[in-house]
Amino acid sequence: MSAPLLDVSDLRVTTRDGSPIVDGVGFEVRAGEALGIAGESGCGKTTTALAVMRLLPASLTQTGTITLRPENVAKQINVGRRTERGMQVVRWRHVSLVFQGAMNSLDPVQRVDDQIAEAIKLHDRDVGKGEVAERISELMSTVGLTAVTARRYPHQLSGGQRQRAMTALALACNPPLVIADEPTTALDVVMQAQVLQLLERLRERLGLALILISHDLGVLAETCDRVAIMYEGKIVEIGDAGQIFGAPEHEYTKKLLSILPVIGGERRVAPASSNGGESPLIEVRDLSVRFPTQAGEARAVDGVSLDWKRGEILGVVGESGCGKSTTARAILGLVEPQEGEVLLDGKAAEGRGEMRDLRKRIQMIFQDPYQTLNPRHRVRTLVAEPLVVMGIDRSEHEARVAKSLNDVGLEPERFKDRYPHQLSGGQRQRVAIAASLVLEPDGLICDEPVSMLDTSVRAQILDVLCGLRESRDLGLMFITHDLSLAWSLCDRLAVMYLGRVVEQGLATDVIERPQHPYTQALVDAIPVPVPGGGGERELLKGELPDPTNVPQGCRFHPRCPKRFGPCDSVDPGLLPAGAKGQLAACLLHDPAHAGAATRSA
Amino acid sequence: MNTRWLIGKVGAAALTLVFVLIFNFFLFRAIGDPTEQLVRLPQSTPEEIAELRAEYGLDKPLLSQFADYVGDTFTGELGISQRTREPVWDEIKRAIPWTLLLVGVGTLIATILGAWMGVKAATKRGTRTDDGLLSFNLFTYAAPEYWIGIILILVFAVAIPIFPAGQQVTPGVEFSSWFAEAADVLDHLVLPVTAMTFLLLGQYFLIMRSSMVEVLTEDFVTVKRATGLPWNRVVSKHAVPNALLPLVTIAAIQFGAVAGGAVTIEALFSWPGLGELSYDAIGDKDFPILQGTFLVFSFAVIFANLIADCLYFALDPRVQAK
Amino acid sequence: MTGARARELLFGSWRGRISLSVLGLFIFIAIFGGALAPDDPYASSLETLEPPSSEHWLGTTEQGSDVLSQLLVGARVSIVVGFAAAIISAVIGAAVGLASGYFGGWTDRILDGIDNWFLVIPTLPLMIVLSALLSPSLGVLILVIGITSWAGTGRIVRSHVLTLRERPFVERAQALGASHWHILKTHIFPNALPLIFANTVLIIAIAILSESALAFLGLGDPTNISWGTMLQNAFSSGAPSAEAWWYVIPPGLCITLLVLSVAMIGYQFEEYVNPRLLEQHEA
Repeated sequence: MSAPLLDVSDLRVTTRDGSPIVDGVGFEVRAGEALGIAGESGCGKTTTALAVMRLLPASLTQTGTITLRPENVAKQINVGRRTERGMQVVRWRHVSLVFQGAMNSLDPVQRVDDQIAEAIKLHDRDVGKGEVAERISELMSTVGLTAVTARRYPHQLSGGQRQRAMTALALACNPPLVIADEPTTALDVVMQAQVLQLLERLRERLGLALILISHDLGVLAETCDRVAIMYEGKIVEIGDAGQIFGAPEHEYTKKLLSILPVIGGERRVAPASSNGGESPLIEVRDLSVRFPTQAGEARAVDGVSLDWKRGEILGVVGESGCGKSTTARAILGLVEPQEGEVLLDGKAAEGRGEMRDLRKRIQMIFQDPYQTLNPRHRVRTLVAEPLVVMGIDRSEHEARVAKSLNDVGLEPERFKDRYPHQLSGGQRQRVAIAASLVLEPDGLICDEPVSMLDTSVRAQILDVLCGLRESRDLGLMFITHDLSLAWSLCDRLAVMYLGRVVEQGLATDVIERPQHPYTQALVDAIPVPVPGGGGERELLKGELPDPTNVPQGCRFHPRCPKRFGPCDSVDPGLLPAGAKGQLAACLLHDPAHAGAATRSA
Repeated sequence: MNTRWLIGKVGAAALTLVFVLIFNFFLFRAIGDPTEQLVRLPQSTPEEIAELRAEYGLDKPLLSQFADYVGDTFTGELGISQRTREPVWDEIKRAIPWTLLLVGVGTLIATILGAWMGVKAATKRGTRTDDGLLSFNLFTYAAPEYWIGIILILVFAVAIPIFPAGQQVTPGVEFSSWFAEAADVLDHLVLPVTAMTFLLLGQYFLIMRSSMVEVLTEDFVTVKRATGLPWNRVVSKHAVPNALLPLVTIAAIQFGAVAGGAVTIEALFSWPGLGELSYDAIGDKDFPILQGTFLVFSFAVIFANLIADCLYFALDPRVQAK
Repeated sequence: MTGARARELLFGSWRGRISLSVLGLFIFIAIFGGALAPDDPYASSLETLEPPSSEHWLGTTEQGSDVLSQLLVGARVSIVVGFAAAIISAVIGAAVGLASGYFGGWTDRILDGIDNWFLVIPTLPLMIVLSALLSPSLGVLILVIGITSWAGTGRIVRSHVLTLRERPFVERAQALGASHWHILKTHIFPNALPLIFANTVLIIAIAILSESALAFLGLGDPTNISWGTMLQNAFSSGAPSAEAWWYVIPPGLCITLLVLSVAMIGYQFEEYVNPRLLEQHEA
């Protein structure tokens, strides 16, 4: 067996004061192989990637041996011993990098193709102008972009296009190895699946070796041959993807995997028994919210109706920009809807008194735990704020704050006098939940409450939320883009696309037997934490259209793989489809049109 | 191309101009009786004053006075200087080129020098070079420009007399050619321009340094280095163009300070520009001149800001197409 | 976030420690300068433009007054004008910035327009016009400098408030139906305060420089000696051509040192409150 392409052994990275960030890491990557590195934030995975290319800032010291053996180079390259000048020749030609957050990875004041041309000319001085242009258009088509896109500036590209452009840049010098650091983190499920598919195809076509770094085990399971799990600067377990996911040995790996929701596996919450009889807490009727923008009027929410029953966990899912957060904000009166109404216990929340009642009984928590608390106040002030706003007697404050903190698992005596910066991300989110419980509400709207937290912390927060449902009969509206999470947590689901609910029903029904082609596409895009689990699948093309320019007819038809005759002219309403109580806004379920579909097919 | 952005900027500049006109008009009418300021005849009869009021249009309603004022301003009728009895506009016209020369050369040198030192300091952050540059520039930022001017005179015109201490040309000399005259002007320009440079240098340095420090933490800098680009080229080709953007915007805000510096430095060096003109007017309470120079300074600063906006427009593709 | 980091920034660096000592020294002189002065700063004598001697440590002026005495007395005007004008400027700037950023809409358009105008307008020529129209006194100087130098603060506070307004904790308070007053008082103002403070410190530096420039141009308070008027007297009496460096250098150096120390403290604070850097401290 030939020697591996990349050999890293005993890699250590330390800060000036001697504390280790990477603590004796060793691994190898063979030509054409994909190695996944997983771990929570701060475990040293990004530092490892930068160390391989010797890109660490001067304040960090790296030791250990890193050896590269590219096929077309006679002698092996000892990365650790090279000078900065010597490294400049190695970088990009033998190993390149797709950085996390493609947003800021390209120079904002230069055109994309100029930036690619710069890299090509840097490593091949004799290349002619025509050749460069040819190479660029070839790269562009490899990553699925047009030559016109290449002439653009980075800010003119969408998130997905930028990630593709960055990938094209990484391939500019035909390196045998590409390191991709969280290449899909900022992207929606569909875009994420598209980018992963692209990387997969590039590996096949170009024989590329890949180091894929991600906090998302599902992503790694699908794409990688081997996986390494990092924890506190060390690799705690490394092995074939099948072994890691099928028979993990290390406790930490087992813990990470047990937290991960797997569709068809075990749900976090027992399915709601029978919801039929319960009365709705909140009803949303034909809600529309429009914003004026430079490009015209954006129809952020465009005729949404929802029922959120008492004690129910209602999931609202969709890609970013589909209107799910705006709907939540409209319920609380944070944005003024143009049409429609919100009913609390069957009564319209219109007057001041009704609105006040609604604001007392429905609370909201937000995504970013670092932004969600006012940094200037202590925990007890933060938790007591709703009591102050609602004018509740001061003598009650302390007891109610203490009860709330207890409910979220924070000891009041230890935490009430702390400032937010003295808390971890998970603790901050608990404080935010405590503050929203202090008024003893009936419903809690959670806008992506765990998407910015690490896997293990995520599980704790979800436990807190589900526990509250059990103990207080608290209803949750769970807004998320994560379908597997929605499946494992929610009683019912509403899937939104471009300001409209396109499918709703029991969570298990909707995810396991989707009736709308869009839901089907979302489900197909979910990375499955089973090696090779993705299999061959048909992915949605393109990206979510602009809400200022909603397509005629069914708003999904331009991207729909199943569209037929009337789809571009008839706007479908929600129709019964699939299981009992399941509804889908698709003409395939309309008896008046479904015949045409079978005929055209 | 986003021409709407540019039109918006032009519109905003025009609006600011209108505000300046209104402000200028009312300022000199709101405080004290303008007749007393316009003519200071100690023993004038009420009839004479009434006649003067009619002559200056002060008996008309305020709105039509304002209309007259705007009309006059745009035809260059800015009144008569009380000191020299010459039309204000003629005095201003003579002064403008000298101020432009001083301010233009000073700003140019300060921008180039400040930006260069800022880049040097940012790329060597935390070293002795950075510390030295920072200390030097903070000192020039804190030192009053006219004090630096006085010291320059003391050292380079009196103690070691290598440059003239004031005025724009050597008086009473017939020049054999325009070249000789230009050389003489240049000789006179050295000290005032140095003072002007010191006025702006510290600010420009600090802006460029912090802007560079920020850009150098951006991901694309790491990516460029990862492509194998040598560090000095990462800096010059990618970091500097991005860091220059804030310099353009903030430098534009400094144009007001430039106008202020023109007053003190020209007063100090008897440089015959707008600054000296208004300095001379202070002592004599020559309000028509003060009003005129303030107006011209304001116009110039607004115009310079507009040019800076256009420059920003040309430099930053993110503004062009949004 | 506590004051610990602010304290560390101010006292932990040599720049911070020196700046605080220099500022403290000048404030001490401003309070006790009159008592410390060896001579009557206004007294004239026949010993004009004498170089430093054991009798006059910093020599004499063109009137034969003691330079050191004038220097000690002059500190008061610089400090009083600097601090008072900066406070006026901070109050206007903070009020405009808070209102403009928080309420948005037409309030913002109008206030931002006014702010823009004051930002663009050449400040020193405007001050010259104002102080030439009003007869110069300490109060007029403070007022004129205060109302012409708030625009920068207004702009910075406004853009910070714009980002604060979008923060989830403000949105949460809105979701509770909290009043504007509650949100401004508990969320916006406490978070904008450090920024306002840092800016005010920087404005003190600008105000001190403005006072000296106006005094140098002959628009200072005629009844009080300040470092600016000293420089004006020195310049108009031909001290530079007489090589009277003892008369010219000290007042300018005092202005520079005072401005430098104040600006350093301001920058240290700005580094501490810079919204971009703040996120990193919190994380």
